[in-house]
Amino acid sequence: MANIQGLSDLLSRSYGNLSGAPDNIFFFKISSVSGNTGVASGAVAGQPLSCWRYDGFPCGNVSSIPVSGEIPTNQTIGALKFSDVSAGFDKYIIQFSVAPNLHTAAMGGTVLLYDRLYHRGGISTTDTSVQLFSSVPLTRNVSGIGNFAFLEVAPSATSNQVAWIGTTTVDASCEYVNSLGQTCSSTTIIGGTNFREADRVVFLGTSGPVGGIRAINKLRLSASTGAVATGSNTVNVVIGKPLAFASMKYGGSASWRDYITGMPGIPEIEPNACLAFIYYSNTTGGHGFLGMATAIQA
Amino acid sequence: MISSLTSYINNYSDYNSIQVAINSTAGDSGALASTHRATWKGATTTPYNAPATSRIYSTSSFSPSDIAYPLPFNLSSNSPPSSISIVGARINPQAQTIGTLILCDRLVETSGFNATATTPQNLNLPTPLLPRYTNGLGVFAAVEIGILIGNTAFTVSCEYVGADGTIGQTVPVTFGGPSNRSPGRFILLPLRPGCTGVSAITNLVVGGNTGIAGGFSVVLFKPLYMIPVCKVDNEIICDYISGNFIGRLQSISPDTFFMFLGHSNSTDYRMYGSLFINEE
Repeated sequence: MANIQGLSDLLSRSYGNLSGAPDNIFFFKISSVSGNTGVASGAVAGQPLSCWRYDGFPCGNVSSIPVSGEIPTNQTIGALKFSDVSAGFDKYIIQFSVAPNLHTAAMGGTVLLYDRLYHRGGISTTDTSVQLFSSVPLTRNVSGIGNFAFLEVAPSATSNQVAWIGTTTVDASCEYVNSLGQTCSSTTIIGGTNFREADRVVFLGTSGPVGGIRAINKLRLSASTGAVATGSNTVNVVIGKPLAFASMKYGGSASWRDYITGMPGIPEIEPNACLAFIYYSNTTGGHGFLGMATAIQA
Repeated sequence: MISSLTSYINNYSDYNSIQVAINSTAGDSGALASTHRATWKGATTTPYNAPATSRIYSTSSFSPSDIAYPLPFNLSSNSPPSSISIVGARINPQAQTIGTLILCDRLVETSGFNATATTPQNLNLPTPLLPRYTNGLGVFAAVEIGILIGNTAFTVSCEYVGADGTIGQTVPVTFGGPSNRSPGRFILLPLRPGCTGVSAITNLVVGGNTGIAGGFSVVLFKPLYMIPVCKVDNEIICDYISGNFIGRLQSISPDTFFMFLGHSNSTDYRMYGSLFINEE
């Protein structure tokens, strides 16, 4: 941040001077997965939804997430692409604007842009034994400060199905490492109505000294959510770093975060960041949005 | 060249404004809340149409008879200017309309397709060579309805050449039916994995007979700025001091052919205002 010397400096870099290398990134997401609109109909009003698989620009990623865990990057399918930062520079997002793409005027919602730091697939929602995670150290925001984690209901391929895990709501207890390096635990719920639908995001809480999440060690369910015959019966776990929120009050009307004229500070996009979206809609059903983000280096 | 806040302000005060001519009349049959709608024809009663042809959109050379408002520059000083930048805008929503405007450079169009044929259509394709952003990087593709198509929803997809030169297929999107059939509807086409833009459309497939052939086009365009229109009661001020103007400061071609994508909260898209263009 200290690299940006003031508004003049920022505007000049936005124009392309001072090696600003500005990005102007248009994006959109529509409520379908590989052209299938039915699979994207499981969104729940007021609940966060992962857009990782949704069609649009960037395209969705329907591949299964490795059970061994991995570090997604800017080259990973599904990531919002931006130009590489030059050596000796840092990259900053300076504007972020989103408009909901819905067919009823009263609809709105909130979009969160985040860096998808780590994800791991294949976590059973019927197994009540301790499920251990292999260690994959973070390569971005490695301290964990500000990082959040969530469970992501994992559909299989692109089938037209809304619910993928069981109807019983159970506790999911998670052991994680916080930004101080301490081992902590927290519990959330998973399964049942509003917590079983395709691409549903269920945030993991924190306990003890709170500063962020560096790693997830293991997870255990209090009971099985119940097997769904045609379901995946699995969730992914994701660690992310929030970058920008945009809250949209009405359908069609954009919200914007302008870090040139508004505060707080200018978020840094770390090299090779995997930028992705979480969408909170105030309605149930198919959803989408479009928007634009700009970034500079300094 | 804008190199500082001072030069930005100085240039801003020396603007050359153009009228933003957005949409035609209230109750336009093509307008739907929260759907994309091309407003490039501006305030006119001329209907959208889709003659079977290909077009290159450049302000200096474009004068087809069916277009009333190509939103041209009114360059006044240097000829040609050494640099042109959009430095801000003022937008006045009408009729209690809020929404979003996306200012784009409309690059090329090929039209004459129909919405009942289910075999691949390639009349006049591939699309013409891009006149600007010639490598296709950051160029997007859309289907634009010109003449009303059928009320049965199917899908549409295109084969295209990406910015990296490889051929790909867009993801099928809903086409036809109540929300995707009216003139002016502008349906964005999702690109294949890893693709960063489009340089040409080579083929087009409609997934089923929508019931009315109508007419539609494929359009390649470059999004430049996004303008949230959040208030209904007074002017929206959009610049890098006041905010509300999303997109990097950039020099653009004098041949840029402005197109607004309207994205409204209601079925009425009427807005008016000015773009401020700096020329040096």
